[in-house]
Amino acid sequence: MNFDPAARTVCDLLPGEWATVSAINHDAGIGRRLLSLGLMPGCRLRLLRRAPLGDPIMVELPGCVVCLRRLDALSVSVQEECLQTS
Amino acid sequence: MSANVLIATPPMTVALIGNPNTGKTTLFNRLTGTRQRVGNYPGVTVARKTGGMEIDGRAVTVIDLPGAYSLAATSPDERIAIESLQGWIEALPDVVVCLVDATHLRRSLFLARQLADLGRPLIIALNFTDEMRTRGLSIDADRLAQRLGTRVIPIAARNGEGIGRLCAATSETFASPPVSRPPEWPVSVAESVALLRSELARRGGATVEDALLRRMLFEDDHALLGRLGVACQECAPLLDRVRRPIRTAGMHPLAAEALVHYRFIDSVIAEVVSRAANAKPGRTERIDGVLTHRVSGLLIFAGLMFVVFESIYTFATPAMDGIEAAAALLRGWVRPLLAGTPMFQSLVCDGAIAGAGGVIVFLPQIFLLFFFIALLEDTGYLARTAFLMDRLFGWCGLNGKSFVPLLSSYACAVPGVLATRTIEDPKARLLTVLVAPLMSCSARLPVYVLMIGAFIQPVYGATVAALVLFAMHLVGLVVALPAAWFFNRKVLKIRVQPFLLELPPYRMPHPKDVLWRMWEGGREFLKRAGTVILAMSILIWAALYFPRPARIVDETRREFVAATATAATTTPGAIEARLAANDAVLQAALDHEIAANYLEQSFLGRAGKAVQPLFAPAGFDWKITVGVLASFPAREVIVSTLGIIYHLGEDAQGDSLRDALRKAKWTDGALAGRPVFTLATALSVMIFFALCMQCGSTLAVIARESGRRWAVFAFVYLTALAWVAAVLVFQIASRIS
Repeated sequence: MNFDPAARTVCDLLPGEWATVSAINHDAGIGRRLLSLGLMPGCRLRLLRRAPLGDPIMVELPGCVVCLRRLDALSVSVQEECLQTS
Repeated sequence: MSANVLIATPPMTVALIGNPNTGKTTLFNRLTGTRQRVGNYPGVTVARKTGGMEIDGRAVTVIDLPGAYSLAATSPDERIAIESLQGWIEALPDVVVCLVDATHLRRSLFLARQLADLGRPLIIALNFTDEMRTRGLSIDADRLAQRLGTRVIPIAARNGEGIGRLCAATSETFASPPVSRPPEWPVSVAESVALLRSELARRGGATVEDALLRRMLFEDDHALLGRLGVACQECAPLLDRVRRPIRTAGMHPLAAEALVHYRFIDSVIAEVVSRAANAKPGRTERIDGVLTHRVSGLLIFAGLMFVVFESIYTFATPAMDGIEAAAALLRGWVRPLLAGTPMFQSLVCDGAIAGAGGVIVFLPQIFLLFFFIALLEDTGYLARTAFLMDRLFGWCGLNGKSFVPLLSSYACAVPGVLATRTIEDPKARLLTVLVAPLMSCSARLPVYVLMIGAFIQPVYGATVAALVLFAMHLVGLVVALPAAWFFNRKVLKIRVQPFLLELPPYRMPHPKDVLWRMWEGGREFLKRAGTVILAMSILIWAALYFPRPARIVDETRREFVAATATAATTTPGAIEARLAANDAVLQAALDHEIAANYLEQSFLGRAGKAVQPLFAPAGFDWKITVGVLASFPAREVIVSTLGIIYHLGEDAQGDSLRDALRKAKWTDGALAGRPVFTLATALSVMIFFALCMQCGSTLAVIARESGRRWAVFAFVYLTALAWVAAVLVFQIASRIS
């Protein structure tokens, strides 16, 4: 699955919203680091909150919580989940 | 007998490796007893550390490798880890202990799988089992061991649970390494490995293990290939060729490793981890809801930072005053003992004791700072401050982690620079070090108070005075961010590193670890910076003391007597008589005069007069210039130096010095007879002191932390910046007023 820069990304999620990773841009440095944390297409993640100034964002990955800058987070595109709550 | 034991039990080397925040440093401390930094913040262990211990009479060396998420080196820390495990840094470790966070099993096992692929004797230490239980999780350690083909030892490093079993397992693994079960690689990866092997063989390079070839395939970093003698420009096309099978199989080469490992890990986790039905939702998430909230989070943050800053500033003051008083007491006690040898007396009292006092006086602040940093870091809050502050600092190449070091620099840049160790991005760390000296430290306060008290408060009132004082504290920060931006873009020219910060769960710090960290910070400062500061104090003492021609005493006395006689309309003889009768007031005035003339004649005094034209555009006369030069090792020296130059003696402060400054007139040149100090001069002096790198201690610490080259760079840029700003302020202010 190739990375589509126009797709919806983690940045577009609402605080508290879950989504499934559809693609990761492995050519960006952040992609590789996320991959080693176990984030790959098919994984579920959740946007926990944004920092008070809007950036960076706090994301719950499977098994850990990380803080990402929006610019870096654009490398992770997601598919929203229809009416799923957790 | 003992010789036999030694032969029978050869020493063993154990490498400790694990993700950041897995309690690796705590385990290292529990194993070796030599405590060191313990962090709850990714990347705390920057340097590789070793410690000694004994298992069943066998000497064991434990190597504490830097925290790493992956063997694919994305940072210098991670490179150190892989190179140690290849035996390139020193001897190959006999046993590798991989620390795994039981509460973050999925993420932690990735590194464990990479290690398994390397094929070294491996043990998994499953840490935080206590925390796991309270969270309602359980892990079937035996089943996990079976699936991984390695020993798995559940421990709780904080309270020492399971350490004995871990030691026993290390011994057993050393004696009889288990047959590890390496990951099963897809055919395409095997094909790529074979291709790479033949390419390397064609070049006549040394043969290497498959595991190392796989590391080259999966990484974008060419350092490993370079080690095998492949030229830099050949690496990319070579890797492109040999990765073709992986790509044909539909995998991104850089993603292939993670895909294979995590597929395995996910199947293992499904089998060994069970979650109690009544598992509580994360405590961390609830705390984060408050501490990183956009309103309450910021309020609590501001409050906490205020407390930290205030404590470093206020709690340290009594101790610092005490140290200064003790140094003064010691000088007073030693001075008469050495009265027979005036030069030696001055060297000991004004050079050595004053210099040593100037080092030790920082200790209270450094202890407090490291106490707070350890506390913030070990609880996990420091990572949250980075989250809150990143936006403010990110645009200029710093990052959220720069906040705490910069805040600490407001008390003193020395602990501030030391605190940059918490920043793992090397570029952001260097930038923070370079701008930290701009923060208005407590040593600048006496200069501000003197200038504002003499020239602003009497004319403009207390409110303006307070505003100016506040503005002086803001100047550094306002200059620092654009300066960082400029260095980032024009000097360092390193592309933006992605900022990925793990937010560790909130944990209760162990008091022993916090106190150890505090002690270690202070000790290291004394050892590393103390010696340099002391040496510099003695150098500057010599520049102020020598050449000290003996004729100055007589000349000064003659002039003094004549001048005093004229002023008091008596004869010089009467004045001589009063001096001979030990008139205390008159004698003190004469002594101050002699001290001032010695200072004027000293190497530094002459240098001040020589370079004064350079400072003339900023409105400095030679006296201020000497003061400026004398304060390069420590800016607070300016007040006592001005005291001496203005013939008031070293202890002159407050009113008398303020008056002397107000009365000072230009003695020659176009301005002769006009006051030296105007509002413009006062502002220019303050801005100079606000921006200039007048602190030998900070320079010494920067040299230790970032290298001598950067210390020189910081010195040059800050001094130039201070000069330009002082000239600008003086020229503009003198035209307006």
